[in-house]
Amino acid sequence: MRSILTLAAMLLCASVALSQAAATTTNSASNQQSAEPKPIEPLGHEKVEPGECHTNKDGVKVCNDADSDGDFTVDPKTGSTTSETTVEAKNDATGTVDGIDGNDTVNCANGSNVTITGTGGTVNANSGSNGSVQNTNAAGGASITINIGGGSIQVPPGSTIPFSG
Amino acid sequence: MKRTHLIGGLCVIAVSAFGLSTLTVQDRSTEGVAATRVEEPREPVADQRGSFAPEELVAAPGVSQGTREEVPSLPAVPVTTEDPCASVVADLDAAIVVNNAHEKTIAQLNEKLAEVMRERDRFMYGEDTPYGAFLSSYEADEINDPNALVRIEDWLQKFPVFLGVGEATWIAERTGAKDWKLYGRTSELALIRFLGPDRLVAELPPARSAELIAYYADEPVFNQ
Repeated sequence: MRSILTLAAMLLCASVALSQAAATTTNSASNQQSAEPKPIEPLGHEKVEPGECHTNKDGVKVCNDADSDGDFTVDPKTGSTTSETTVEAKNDATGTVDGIDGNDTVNCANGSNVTITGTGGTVNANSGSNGSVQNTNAAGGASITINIGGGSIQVPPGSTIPFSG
Repeated sequence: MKRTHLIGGLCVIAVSAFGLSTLTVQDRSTEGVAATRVEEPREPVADQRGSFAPEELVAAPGVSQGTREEVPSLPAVPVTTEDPCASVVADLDAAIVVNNAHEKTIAQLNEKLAEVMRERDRFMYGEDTPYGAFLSSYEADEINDPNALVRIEDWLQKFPVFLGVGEATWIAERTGAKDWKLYGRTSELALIRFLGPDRLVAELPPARSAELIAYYADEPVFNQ
């Protein structure tokens, strides 16, 4: 009688252990299936040479004039629809930057001449830079900020403001 | 008898003298008419407008009067003595004079501004910095273009190397002439070529050198 009970207890323990092991295996498998790959953004920027245009997935389009004396860079190169895009207009670059929004930045170096359009963001006009900023937002939308000469000005929706740093 | 002969002789002389004088007067009047016709050519008759009638100008033997009347008359050309561009030319000359005066004033103001900028920057930059060292050179006093001074300052912040004799002047000349394309694809590449890639790699801070080498990795700029 005792041996029968001992055998029954051993079988019970073994079945419990097996069921726990099976559950662990199932959980780990389901965890592996639900894990989504993180979005990986390509590193680096896009060099836009004179005569070239480039548009990233944030919707920022940069065109460098054919007779420009400087490069533009677009960072990130591709990005996503919500990327914080930074455009650099290097020394003596002339061209256009379209489609900047609230989290984007355009830096204009000495000697550059840049025509910028968008619905938000910041333009840093360094000494010796020129250009204009057009806010294409509808009335009531966000403004674009121009930092120039140690101060800043706002470009309200529907307005265009030329600048000379 | 002698008296009779004398009177008869006088009569013959008188008659002959009268006849000679009459003939002479007639010849002279004939010569005068002929001379007048030769010496005075016919002049065309001018109308009230000051122009000549076509028939007077094209009169040719063998051409009938009817043919000449069919030629349409030329339209009247108004004769004016005033130059219609005179006032415009005068205005332009005056504008050029004013423009030249303004250019001279601007050049003087730029010279003053450059002087003030040099003095200000000498307080801001020590001579142990590339731009401060440039300001202490004689070249700095000869560059009277404020834009060129700003450009040299900007370059030396990006490429902090100590300039040699004539290098700042070259940068100032390129800044004024905007002819960077003669020396490189961009103004930055022109400057890198001018200053020397090897020199920049050796003198720039390592982080800045690495940044430049990475940026121009796809171009034959730095032989790394």
